Amino acid sequence: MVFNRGRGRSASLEQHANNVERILASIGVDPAQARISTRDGYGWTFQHGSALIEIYIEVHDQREYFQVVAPIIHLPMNNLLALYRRLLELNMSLTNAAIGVYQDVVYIFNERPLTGLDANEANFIISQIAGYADDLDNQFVNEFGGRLYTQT
Amino acid sequence: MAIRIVEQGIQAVQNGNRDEARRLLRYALKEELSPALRATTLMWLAETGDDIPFKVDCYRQAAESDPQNNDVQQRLSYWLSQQLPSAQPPANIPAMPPQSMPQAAPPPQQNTPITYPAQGYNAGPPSSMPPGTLPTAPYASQQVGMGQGPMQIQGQQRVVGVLGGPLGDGSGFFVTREGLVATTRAVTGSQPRLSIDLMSGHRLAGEVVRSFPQYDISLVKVNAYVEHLAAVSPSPYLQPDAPIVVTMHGGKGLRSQRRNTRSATNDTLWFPTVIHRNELDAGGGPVYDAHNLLVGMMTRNTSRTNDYAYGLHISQVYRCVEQYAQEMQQMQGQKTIYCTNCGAVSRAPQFGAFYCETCGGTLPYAENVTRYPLPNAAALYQENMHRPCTNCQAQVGYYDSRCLRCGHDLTTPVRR
Repeated sequence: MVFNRGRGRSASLEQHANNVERILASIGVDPAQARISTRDGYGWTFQHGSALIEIYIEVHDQREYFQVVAPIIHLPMNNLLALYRRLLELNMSLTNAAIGVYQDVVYIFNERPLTGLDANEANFIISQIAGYADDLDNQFVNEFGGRLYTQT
Repeated sequence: MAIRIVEQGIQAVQNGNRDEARRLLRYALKEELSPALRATTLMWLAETGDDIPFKVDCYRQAAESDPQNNDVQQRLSYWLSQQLPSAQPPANIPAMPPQSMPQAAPPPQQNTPITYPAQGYNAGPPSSMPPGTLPTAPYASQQVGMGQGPMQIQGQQRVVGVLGGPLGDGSGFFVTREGLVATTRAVTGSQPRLSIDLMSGHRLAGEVVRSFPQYDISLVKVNAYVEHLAAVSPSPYLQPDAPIVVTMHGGKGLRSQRRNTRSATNDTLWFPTVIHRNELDAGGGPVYDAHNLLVGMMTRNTSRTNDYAYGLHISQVYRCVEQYAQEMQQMQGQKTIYCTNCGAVSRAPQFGAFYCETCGGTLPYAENVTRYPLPNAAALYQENMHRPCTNCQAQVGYYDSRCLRCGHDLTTPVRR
């Protein structure tokens, strides 16, 4: 479950999952390799540039959603007030993306209804989220400390 | 028109924009000006350059325009003496700004009461320009509280103008004799410096020293000493339907009354009025009662159901003034800075830190520098004084029993 939202498998969701896999294939991602197991939905993860991208589909209020998530950093042990403020300030300036914190990880994400989603738009969303993640991860670590999500 | 251009030029000097100031003041000098105003303009023009011959030339022209102006004569003498070979300052020392002049040639009117002319700059040549309004705006922030002699304000200032804020011109009023002006946070916004217009037309550089956004209050310091403050009502309440007068900058006054309402407004903080927001300036005007006692400050805050503006009780304004005074006393001797984001006074400079400890906002001096984690600043942000989180070991603190870093609920066991 991502960000604590409820999700359940359904026939319609499975059909959408197939659509998403077609979209991923069309942008050069091998769906079979990218597929990850989630508790009660569908998910894929792959590298896009230096950013780790996770994609989920979920049902919320009987509507299916396409969610692109990029975990960027583990929160530092200090400087949290300034970092949280910076995250909120950035939230005001990002386009078509939002910043959030789940447990001790900072994410950049985008979410939109699955209906009408085509490969071009999916590719645009993924590239945009990956671009933001690329720009911000090192910047945050250098300024506030913490650790890159992809760093062990 | 010419006066307006001169005002804009002075404003530009005060904002540190000397190129623009020079352009405006030179433009104004092409217009027909009275001798006194021409001298004033030339004196401000002198402040747009560091070149001594340029200053001397400006003061010489000013002296020709207004030969009776002692201030001009003294400045001219001072800068002429600086041109003498023996008096030349070393190249690495900046030219002495006018506030240092008293050491060389103390002006006769230093620290003496000033009689204000009836009109603004036109009738107020530099001879009546106090040290606080000397054209040294680049140093304006340093002037506040400096011991170079505040401007003496004799007459009662029922209201002052607060100019340069994000919502346009607002009003304010003196709350201490030491030149502290109260206005609304909406008027000052996140500006660190504003101009304060006196009823006489004189304009002073004001520095925002503290804001209380929760009460919509900002306190602005000017280098002035006020002999007569408005008499304050001793009552902490304002009776329903009580008549009030709101005074705004520019001489506009509104007669109104406290609105009679049964809503649960906190009577010791806010009082409702029957004034519509569009009747007001940007806010901050003093509110007087029928006995001419100061009872509050007008704001542009309204309720959710109508457009009637609310006033803030004067008792709350003074509580904020007292809090500011206490903070200053506690932080005496420490390096502090006003945080334009939240209005608090930050001790971050004392720690060499980059962020305000109250709101986490980046402080003005740290905006264009490379910032990095500072372990020794944890004490400033109080991030090392809580018990470690059982999940992530962070000591940053808790909200609602959840760790501020990882969100772990202290009341639940850790999953490994």
